[in-house]
Amino acid sequence: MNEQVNIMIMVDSIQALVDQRLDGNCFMVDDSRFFSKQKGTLHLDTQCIPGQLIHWTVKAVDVQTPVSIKQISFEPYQQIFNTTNVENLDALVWNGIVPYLGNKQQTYKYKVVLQIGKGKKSTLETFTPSLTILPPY
Amino acid sequence: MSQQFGIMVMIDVKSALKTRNLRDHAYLIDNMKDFGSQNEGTNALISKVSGTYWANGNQAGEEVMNWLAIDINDMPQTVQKPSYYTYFRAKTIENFLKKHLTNVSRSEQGDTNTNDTDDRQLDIKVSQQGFNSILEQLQDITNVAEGGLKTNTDSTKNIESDWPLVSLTGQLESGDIKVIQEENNYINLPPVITNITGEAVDLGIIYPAEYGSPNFITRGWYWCATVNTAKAGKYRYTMHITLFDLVIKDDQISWKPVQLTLDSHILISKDAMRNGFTGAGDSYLPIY
Amino acid sequence: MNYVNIKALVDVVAVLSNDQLDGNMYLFDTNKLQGSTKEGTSNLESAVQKNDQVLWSTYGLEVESYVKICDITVDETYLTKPKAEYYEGTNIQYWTSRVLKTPETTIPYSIQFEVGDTTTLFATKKGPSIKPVNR
Repeated sequence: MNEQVNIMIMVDSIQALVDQRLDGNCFMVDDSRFFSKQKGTLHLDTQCIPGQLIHWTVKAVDVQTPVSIKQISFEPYQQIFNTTNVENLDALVWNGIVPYLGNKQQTYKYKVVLQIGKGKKSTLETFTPSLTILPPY
Repeated sequence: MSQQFGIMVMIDVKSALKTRNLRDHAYLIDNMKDFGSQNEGTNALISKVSGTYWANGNQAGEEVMNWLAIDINDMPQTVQKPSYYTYFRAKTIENFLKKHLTNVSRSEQGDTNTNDTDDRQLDIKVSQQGFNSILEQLQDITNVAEGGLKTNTDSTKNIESDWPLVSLTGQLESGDIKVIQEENNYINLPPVITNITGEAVDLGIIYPAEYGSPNFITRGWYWCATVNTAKAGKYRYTMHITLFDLVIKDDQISWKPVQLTLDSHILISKDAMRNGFTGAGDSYLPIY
Repeated sequence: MNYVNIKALVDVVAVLSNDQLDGNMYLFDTNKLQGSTKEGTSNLESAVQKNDQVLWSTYGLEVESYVKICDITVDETYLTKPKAEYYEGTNIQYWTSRVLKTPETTIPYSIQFEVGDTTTLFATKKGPSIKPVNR
């Protein structure tokens, strides 16, 4: 059974829409048993090891406002599965197993795109969170 | 989705009371317009609920619906984030009204827990022991039937309330009540949803329940339901709403409850859960 | 004195995400029996006659959202320039105007809102109107 690490993104939906940015209106936490950095900010760096399952979820601070994850991608930010035309973003589960990429500790920044409502100003993104894959024990 | 559905039932209470017709004077709006709800702002709202399920058939997400009935004629009383200092938060409609709640001086049987010696006074007094909830009084004159309250509209008992008689511009009314009634410049006791029934409930599509909340206009009660999204389709439900009509008897204000119903629909769709990275099952993270 | 009480319900998330007020703001009044039409839309036509007092106030659809009317622009042949007032003892506003002349036909007017915060402004483009009462 893969050990699961949960990363939770919390958003003040309305303020994010007003400011048209996630920075300052969004914070991230995880429950990794390793020492993750910058907990509570958008620069969260989640420490993990190969084989763990990472599970991302998002919640709006105001329960009557919507927010969904539209995309999570790592460099070069190409998606295998294009979510542009997915009608119900809540039918997507954002799970992935940490791959083994070598014996050195390495940090990988990733992009998160959130959708708040629908329309031309509904999509907001950040490039600042990251995963740090620790060498396997 | 983590989002809860909110359905506002906007009611032109005075017109509905005049015509005894709720359907022509109620307009429903939910917060799911961009996600598929239809006929926003009408009495024919169809609320879209997008359900999700796992490969083994189990429902994946919990969808929650909330209902609130509001009189179009009432002052805006929703909770607002203070736009500046918290000092101003104290200056909301709720706090203004709380200061002017009257003594609930007596019930029809006569009552002893009042400090007011002359309980025929019409002056609005500051309450000294808090106030009875409308629903407690409704319970006195109704049967608590299965799944909700049933008000007997032939009942001769009316609600006596500490709800202050306030004009449309928020001033406390004083003076000749008959004149106030004629001028129609007063806000009715707010409408209350007393039950939710119908096909959607009978089929186990929605599980409604009444919850306590600090929401002042509903006197601390609102209706909420969780949705079973296993069966896709369009389902009807009925809201039982009590409006309050101003009645003056012996120079005393009381409110006659008038129970009316209003139907609406929910439309359930369901999608299978898929992995957001692959579009299918779980795999390694796309890190290269 | 007859009062025509107009309520604006604003779907704050929809206005901000679509960057559009019309269609995401719903107007209602208490004068349907006298002839108001298009209740529940951004194009409410309120039936009024001379000496009626018109009131406007607003809510956000999302319970904790911020909405405020910051201006109402009318044809001043028919309505006095709308004024903002506070419900006594609160910092919640309403706007008020008196009908100077019964409109012969549908006369449009415009409402401007602060949506989400005090610096984000939206005004109706093809918005509400006043019209004559039923004969």
